[in-house]
Amino acid sequence: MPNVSDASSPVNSRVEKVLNQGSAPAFFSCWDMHAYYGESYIVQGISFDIREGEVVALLGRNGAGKTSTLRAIARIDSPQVTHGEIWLDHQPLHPMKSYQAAQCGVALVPEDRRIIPGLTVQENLQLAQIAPPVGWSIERIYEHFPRLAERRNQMGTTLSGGEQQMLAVARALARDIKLLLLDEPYEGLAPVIVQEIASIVDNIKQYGITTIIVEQNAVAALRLADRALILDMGNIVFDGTAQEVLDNEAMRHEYLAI
Amino acid sequence: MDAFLLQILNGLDKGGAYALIALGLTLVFGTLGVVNFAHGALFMLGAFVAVSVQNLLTISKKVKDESITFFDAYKETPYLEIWWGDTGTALIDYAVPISIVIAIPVMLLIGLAVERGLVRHFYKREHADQILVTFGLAIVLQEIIKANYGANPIPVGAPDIVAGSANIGALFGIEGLVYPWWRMIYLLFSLAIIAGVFAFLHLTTFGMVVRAGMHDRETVGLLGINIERRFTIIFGLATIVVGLAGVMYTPILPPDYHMGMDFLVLSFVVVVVGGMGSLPGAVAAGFLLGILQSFFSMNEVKSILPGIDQIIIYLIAVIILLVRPRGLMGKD
Amino acid sequence: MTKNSKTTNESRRDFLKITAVGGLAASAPMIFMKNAHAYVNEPKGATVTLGFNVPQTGAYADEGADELRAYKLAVKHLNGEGDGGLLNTMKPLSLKGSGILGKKVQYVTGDTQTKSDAARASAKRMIEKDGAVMITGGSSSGVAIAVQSLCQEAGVIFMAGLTHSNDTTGKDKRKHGFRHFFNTEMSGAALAPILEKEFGKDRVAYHLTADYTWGWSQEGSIKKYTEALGWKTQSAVRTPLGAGDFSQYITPVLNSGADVLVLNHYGKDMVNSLTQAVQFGLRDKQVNGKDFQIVVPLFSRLMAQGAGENIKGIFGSTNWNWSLKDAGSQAFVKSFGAEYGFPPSQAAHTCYVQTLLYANACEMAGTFNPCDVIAALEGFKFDGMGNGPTEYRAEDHQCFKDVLVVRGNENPSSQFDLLEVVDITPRAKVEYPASMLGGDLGSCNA
Repeated sequence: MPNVSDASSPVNSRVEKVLNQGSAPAFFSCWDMHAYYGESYIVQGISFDIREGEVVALLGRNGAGKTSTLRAIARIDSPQVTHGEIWLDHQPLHPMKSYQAAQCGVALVPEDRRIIPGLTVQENLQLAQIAPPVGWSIERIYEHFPRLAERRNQMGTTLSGGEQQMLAVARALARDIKLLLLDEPYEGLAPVIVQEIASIVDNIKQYGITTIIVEQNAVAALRLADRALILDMGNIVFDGTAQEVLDNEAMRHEYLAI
Repeated sequence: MDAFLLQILNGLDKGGAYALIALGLTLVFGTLGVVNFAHGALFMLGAFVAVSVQNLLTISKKVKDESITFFDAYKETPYLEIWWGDTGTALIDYAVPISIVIAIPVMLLIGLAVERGLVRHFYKREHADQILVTFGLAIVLQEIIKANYGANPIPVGAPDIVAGSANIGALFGIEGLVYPWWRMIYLLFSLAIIAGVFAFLHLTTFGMVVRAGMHDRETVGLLGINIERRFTIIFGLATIVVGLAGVMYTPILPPDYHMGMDFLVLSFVVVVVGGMGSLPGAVAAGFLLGILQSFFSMNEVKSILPGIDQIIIYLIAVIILLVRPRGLMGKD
Repeated sequence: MTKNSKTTNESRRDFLKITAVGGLAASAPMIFMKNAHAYVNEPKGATVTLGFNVPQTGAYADEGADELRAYKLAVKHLNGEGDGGLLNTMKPLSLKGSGILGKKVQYVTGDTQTKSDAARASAKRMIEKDGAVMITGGSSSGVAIAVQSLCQEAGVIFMAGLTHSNDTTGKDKRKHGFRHFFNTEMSGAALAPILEKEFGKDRVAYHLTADYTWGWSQEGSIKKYTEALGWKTQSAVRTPLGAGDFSQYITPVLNSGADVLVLNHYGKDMVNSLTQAVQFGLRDKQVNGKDFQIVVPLFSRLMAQGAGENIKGIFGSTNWNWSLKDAGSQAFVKSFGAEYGFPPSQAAHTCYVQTLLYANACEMAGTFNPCDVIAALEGFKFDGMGNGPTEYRAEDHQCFKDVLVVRGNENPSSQFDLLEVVDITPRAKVEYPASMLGGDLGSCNA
């Protein structure tokens, strides 16, 4: 990993450039990140910034490297980030382990939800509040998610798909987060439930939580997002506003197959 | 009928020991992801805590037998008996219960030392490496005990009051049916410890983290919890459990330096049959295999299938794994 | 012939001859080279090497350690050091205390691990690599029989250590093997009158037997002699070696109608089975109107230590005990005690005696050649080595001597005083015809 305090490091010089331009460094910044799953070269050098409060849709075909990007940001051991820097609110994430990144405010809601078996809904939420920083109180979560309140003593894994998704998001909110990473929140859910989840995400947007959302259902994601990034074969091929993608049918066709 | 009953009791008794050992093994494997081949040696160390306490309590005044001149032969009277008379004798008599209390901090220290000194460097390594290294540790521990205590088994008695047999025939209306008190106490004790471990896991926050970590270590990390910091304590806990199993077992089986190895293979079979990473599975498999082993040593059964008692555990393990590869209660 | 005096042709012929012989010698496997004048590991220099094959690991390791102590002491005495030990009391004696046939005695050791294959491997190593001319030691009959047959094939002598099964000098006897320790037949003959006196003629016995040659042998011998008294044998159950937990074998005894439990177990097995039998209340039971009794036909002081309180009052037999008062026993106890600070076990005694008997036979024969040494040992009568007048019977290479019936001491006067000698059965009462146990010695292989 490049030495953060090294004055000649490219990020520092980029920061200088930005400063000289008169704007503050980005709230979230990813610079030249390369990541591998073993021998497989998944993320091939991506760089992007996010401003505080923005919602960014991360799109691309299957296998483009979207989930890997989120996992790399969350500092999970696999994929292994071999090069690059990740910064969140002036904190360097790239030397951290996943639990340290979580304590700095990163929250990943994984694709398969990962509700912990053997624990009730209540316990899943309590688990999220053992490590600092604590976010919403459990009571506040239950107010917001009455369906979870009803099932608080039920085993987390016996909930329906939509309820589990709710629980996964609620678990993230139970912590004081600065960056929310949503991996395919609508996957496998009936359209009616998708609506429900979408409105929850919309609410979260109102709270101003910086969010990256990966979603196969590109249109649904773009409607929520301010900006869009398109990944193709581990590289960013588009970095602009969500509206631009919604308007550009050719680009959608080429990179998203829709 | 009475033979049947006795064999059930024998099986439960043995099963209790297997279940306790398998419990510790599964805790370590499920949370730390480490295959700990030194676990049997820790059982043996627990037993030797009882031996050491007994030795300590019976430090004796030696009165030389003058009639023997070729070497020093002496009659020994324990100092405790000399100073405190009957209280002293009672203390010596209760060596094993006293050892239980002493074993807890001793085994905790040993567990912490093993985890900090050795095991933690192997979390991310291949299971084969972990096996090699922990097996090596087991041999070292064995040899240390052998060098200090000799190779012969060392008798440790249960307190006199429970050293004999209970007339359980009275409960069932069967004449002359007896079963040793201590074995029944052992069964109750192992059930109590198992209950204690489960209570700890389900009623404390630390326990909840352990349970969560056993199922999904990655997600626990994503919630900001540094589970590796808790590994040391978990290993210490597992060591205490298996050490207590060893302490209590000494009146049943006089401990010798090799007993750990004898239990180790069996306890791995139990863990695998129960489903690796499943605590209830380990306990269930422990009792099941204990009972099976007892039954198949009955003369009636052995006359039909000679030698079956030696292989029955492995046979059942093979069958269960063929039919249900993840074990009785294992996860996929 | 100096170099200069030969023609080139003659030198070439010499060279070819030497290479041919050398090549032949190098290619023939060492052990199986049979030369009319040489025998395996013939000591050529100033020393002779003996091989001590004892259990250094495993359940009998403590006994093995004692055997090794005895062997080292024997070597010391043979080389003329120390106080001479049994060299002072043994009669007749050809040894002079200057080694054997003038050669200093050295030794190598091996670990049998109480397993036959490991024992054979270490014996083989001592013969082939270390040049041992005699192999001795061991604490298990299975091991003894295996090593005995290896020594027969290899052409060296085997002086057995502690082995009790009839088979060692019975159906598995070998010309190259010799046993000083007694066997189960003798134990049975010695114990029977004592058992009759103490427990009567009307008893029902239940046997728990270690499932290998020694266990079967002892079970057979005890059954034979007790049934001759009038006892009934209710059951004889085989238990796996090293079982650990005998509860499932003991529980059937409780309601079997038997009033005597015979434990054909040794070592760790005996410690466990006896402890657990007592735990199950067998010694406090009353069956058929009599007190339940436990008999352990073979035990040693080391095992008694392991059994603790439970050995008190239990009858058994041993080959020898340090409390014997004859000159030979006392000399050995004194020597061993002075050297090591505690008394020798019966295993130590038999190993020490075997070493001296072998050395003495070599001295008598004037050579280390096995065939001559065997001839010297066969029929050898001696005394002054504990156990009274003893004969090495020629037909089966078994020593015949007095046998001790012992009982666990109720009030030990010291930590070593765990066995009291109840009776010394004279040799005549334990003798039997060699043909009774079968087997065939074969012939000398050297």
